[in-house]
Amino acid sequence: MGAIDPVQMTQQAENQEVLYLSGWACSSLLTSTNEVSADFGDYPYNTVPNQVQRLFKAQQLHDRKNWDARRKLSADERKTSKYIDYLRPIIADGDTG
Amino acid sequence: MSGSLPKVIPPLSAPLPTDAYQLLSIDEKVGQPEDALFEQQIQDVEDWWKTPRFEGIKRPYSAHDVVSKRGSLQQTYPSSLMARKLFNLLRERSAAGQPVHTSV
Repeated sequence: MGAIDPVQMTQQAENQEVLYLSGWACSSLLTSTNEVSADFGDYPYNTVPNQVQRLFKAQQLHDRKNWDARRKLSADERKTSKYIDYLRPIIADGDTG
Repeated sequence: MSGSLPKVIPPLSAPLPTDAYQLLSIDEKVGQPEDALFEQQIQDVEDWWKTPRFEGIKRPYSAHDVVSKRGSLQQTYPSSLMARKLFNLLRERSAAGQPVHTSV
């Protein structure tokens, strides 16, 4: 459920209204200690906040690219071109197991 | 709130045009609203560049160039406020023929 990294975020943005980040998945894959910590609670407490920052920065990048690409279309093309909102609100689930 | 302090010209933070836009649904954004937001920002940037703060500055890029790269989320940056503080200090000292020291 949700996205663990920016690549997944870009794929989900079109159809998913919120971006869910799993703390359990972060504790498994993204600890700075490299420990696989799912369910053991022995990882740095900024593990999830750090990934939220990465995701948000990626959302902003894709939003800037989308905005620029749309400005290159004509006004009529914009009306009919699908608008993908990359700035989906992030739900960061800090409960890691 | 007392209104006794002078306003900062040009302003650093204010309600941003993208705030209301961001909260619209996707269907409400497409077409005229995104175009209106774009045009509003271009006008704001051009007004901002015309303030005395930027007198004599030549730019090889247009407001269109800037706004098209911004995306749909604007922010206010604390570093902008600090930069203004430094600019004011340097201008004040320059007018008095005085230096700003970086060490004792």
